[in-house]
Amino acid sequence: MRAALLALLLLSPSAAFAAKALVVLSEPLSPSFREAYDGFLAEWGEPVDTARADMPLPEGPHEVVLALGGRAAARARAQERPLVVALAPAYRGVGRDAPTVRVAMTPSPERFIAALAAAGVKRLLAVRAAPAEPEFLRRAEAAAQEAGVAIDDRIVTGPEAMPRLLRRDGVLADGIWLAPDPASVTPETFGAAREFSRARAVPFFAPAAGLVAGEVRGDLTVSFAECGREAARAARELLAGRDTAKVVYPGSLPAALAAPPSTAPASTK
Amino acid sequence: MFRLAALLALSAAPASAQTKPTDEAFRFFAEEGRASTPLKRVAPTQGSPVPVDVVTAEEIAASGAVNLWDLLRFRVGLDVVEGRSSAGSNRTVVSVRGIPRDGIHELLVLLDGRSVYDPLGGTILWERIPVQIQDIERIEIARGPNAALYGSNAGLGVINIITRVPAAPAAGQATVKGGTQRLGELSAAGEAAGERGGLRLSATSRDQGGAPTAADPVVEGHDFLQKHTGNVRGWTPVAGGRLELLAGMSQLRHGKTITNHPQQQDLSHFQTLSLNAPTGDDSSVELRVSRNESLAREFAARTGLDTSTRFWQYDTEGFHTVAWGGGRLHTTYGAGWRYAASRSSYLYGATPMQANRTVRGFLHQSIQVLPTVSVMGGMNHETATAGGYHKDFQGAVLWGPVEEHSFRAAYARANTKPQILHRYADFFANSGAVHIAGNRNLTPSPLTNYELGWRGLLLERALTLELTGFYTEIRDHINLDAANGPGFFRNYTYDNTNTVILRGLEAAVRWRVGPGRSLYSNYTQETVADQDAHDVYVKTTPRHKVNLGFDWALPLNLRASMNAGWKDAYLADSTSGPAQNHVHAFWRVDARLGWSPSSWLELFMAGQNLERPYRREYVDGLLVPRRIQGGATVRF
Repeated sequence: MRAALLALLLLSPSAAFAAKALVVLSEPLSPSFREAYDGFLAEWGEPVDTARADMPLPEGPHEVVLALGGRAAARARAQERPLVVALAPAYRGVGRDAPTVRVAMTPSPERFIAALAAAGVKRLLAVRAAPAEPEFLRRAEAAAQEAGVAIDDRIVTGPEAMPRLLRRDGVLADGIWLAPDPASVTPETFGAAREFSRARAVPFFAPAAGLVAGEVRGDLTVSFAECGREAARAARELLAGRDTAKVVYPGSLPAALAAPPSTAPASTK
Repeated sequence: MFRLAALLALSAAPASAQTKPTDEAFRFFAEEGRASTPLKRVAPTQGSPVPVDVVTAEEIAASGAVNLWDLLRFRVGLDVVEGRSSAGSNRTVVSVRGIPRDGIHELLVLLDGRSVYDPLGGTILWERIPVQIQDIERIEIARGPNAALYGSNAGLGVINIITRVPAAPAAGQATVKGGTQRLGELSAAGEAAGERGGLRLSATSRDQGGAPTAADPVVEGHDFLQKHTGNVRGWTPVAGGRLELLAGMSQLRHGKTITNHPQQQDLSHFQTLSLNAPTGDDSSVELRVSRNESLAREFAARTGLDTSTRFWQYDTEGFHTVAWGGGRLHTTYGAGWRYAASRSSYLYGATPMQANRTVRGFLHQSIQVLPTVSVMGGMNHETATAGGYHKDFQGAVLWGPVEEHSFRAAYARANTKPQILHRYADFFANSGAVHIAGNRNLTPSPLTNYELGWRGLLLERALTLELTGFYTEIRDHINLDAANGPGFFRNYTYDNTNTVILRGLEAAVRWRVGPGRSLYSNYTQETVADQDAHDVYVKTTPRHKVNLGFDWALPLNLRASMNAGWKDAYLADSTSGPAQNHVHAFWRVDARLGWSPSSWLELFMAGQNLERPYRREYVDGLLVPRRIQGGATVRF
């Protein structure tokens, strides 16, 4: 029912509102994007215009654009307006003149290391398909040194390479984390990481909240709704003209920027 | 008002629990995964105009293959015929969609994007490809014409061998292997990578005895092989992209059927410098400059003839890929230049050096006209001093009415151009009884292809189904035919007189049951008609082929895999001699069992052609034996 309503919403003629924000979704029917959309609405507290990534974007007096997903980001990047990108871990925002903020799919490096330390992990095997952002690495290394945690950051060149890596290299780790990286998260790689975790009795930290189940832990993940909420905060920062970091982590901006609860649509969370 | 009502109703409705969170999370990453394909596009590619089959790293590790071409056996639409030929170092024939013969002109093979097609004879010399199995990350097999992007000779297929990019901070492995047919092989590789770059070095040395002879299978043939291969791959980040150096060298010494000495020696090496850099969020540029050289030297003591040939080639290619129009349009355009030269006083008579310069430009465009429909088309213009001018086209419509299912209708025209040997040959074969003459009036052979296909994913993407039907017509096909000449020789020359028609059906199913566990089966039906009724085209293609197998992780860190293939009867024939042999329908079974008592060690046993002690696949007087190997791999 919700999916049908959202589809109707997105397929109906646009620009009915003179909304300040335009939300572009890669997959309107996907629960992941719906959850992030709900989180954004709850935090934003105002009506928004919406559009699908596979259709031309509506004209309108939008002051900020939110892209949920990689395809949405590709569609929205040509807009000469401030842009917030979320749920697009492969997106690298370069080449835009207008302000751009990307919402990461991980907690801040400091929260990340603190969660590891709390879980008793001393050496984490981090598996990803693309190099980590230098800023994340720098801050994570500083926090890790203080907390006595080592991160063994490994790059795999494709989903097929990961089982081989785990058979070869992972023996020293006392925890494994699959980074939220589109090129490395598949049912096969997830299963391989879980088998690694079981065989060595070390914790397995999931790349996304939706993958947390049973012994797979969610200490290092943020939910799609959190990403949506953080995107709303980042959008408000941009509209306020404040100098916002190019990459923000869910929970890193002050919650005080959120709209009063009474003005927000009902959240499903 | 309607939108407001819908929005409020949406916000108030309870969250759906129809989709399991795990499945949905994977679906999310899959959507984004399409957004970061090797084309460096943020948006998805919306499918391919040709069917693509991928040999993954897992399948390579589980295959137990000793030879590169054994990785291509058991794949849908492919035929592998092993013939330890006495006529040179080309020990095998790999064909896509039919007409296997000793010179496959219509198949393009790439090593990390660089063509290893041999423009001298217009074929692929599989044994000489300077790559080691331990370095291969994946092999992508695109069946059908793709000349609009890749240029001439990409008529019946393109096989791209992709090697491993060094990514581990410090890793290495060494494998020792021994087995029947006096096989001994030692291979090792090491790599290191960091933020400033990566480097991988690898080497393999193999010594292998001869195959059984057809006249007396107990007698070992004199086609023994000594092969040494070394490769280096390094990269460093440049301009937000990656600058890479790839180089390799391969040395082969092998015997021939007359004497048990290494009568032929091949030395091949290549160097490639490539830059792959993003030029924006939705665009990337790739530039590649390569050089390769091959020296085939035959010891002249037996015949008194110097039949050595030297072949060298320089080629460069650059292309730009960009997504625009909000991600609905994808454009790829580029250009390439190649200089290929060959020197042989044996092959070219009084003019021992021959060269060929090729220039081409190409443009490929895809458009998403509706959310469920994409159209794509491309063209390639190419001219070569030894091949003439030709244009290649491609057009396709892809329709995805249901998520995870796509239908494809495609048309393509691809040309196969004559090569140096076809135009300039002037040599004697069969102890001087046969004279082969080139033909300078040869023109490119246009291939026209029509096909329909369907690809579907079921069971949460674990089950892949694929069905393709094709009709291909090759006009002005290049043949070696009897010709007029001096009466005391049998004279042959190349001509453009033939028309070949190929029809086929390809069906494949693969079920990834779980990590390390998969099953597959495929079926290929092909028929060939030929205007001139050459046996080498009409009768050499098995009408039916069936393959099936599994790769299965077992308790106690054991892993078993098995591949079985049934091939219909065919005629073993070649264009290099009059001999023919009827090969009855047969099953071939390959298997491997590995045991990893710890993460740094694997012990394995593997075998090929297990159900028979030997069999004939080709016409050269040598048989393919049952082979069994065992060994160990150490990793750190």
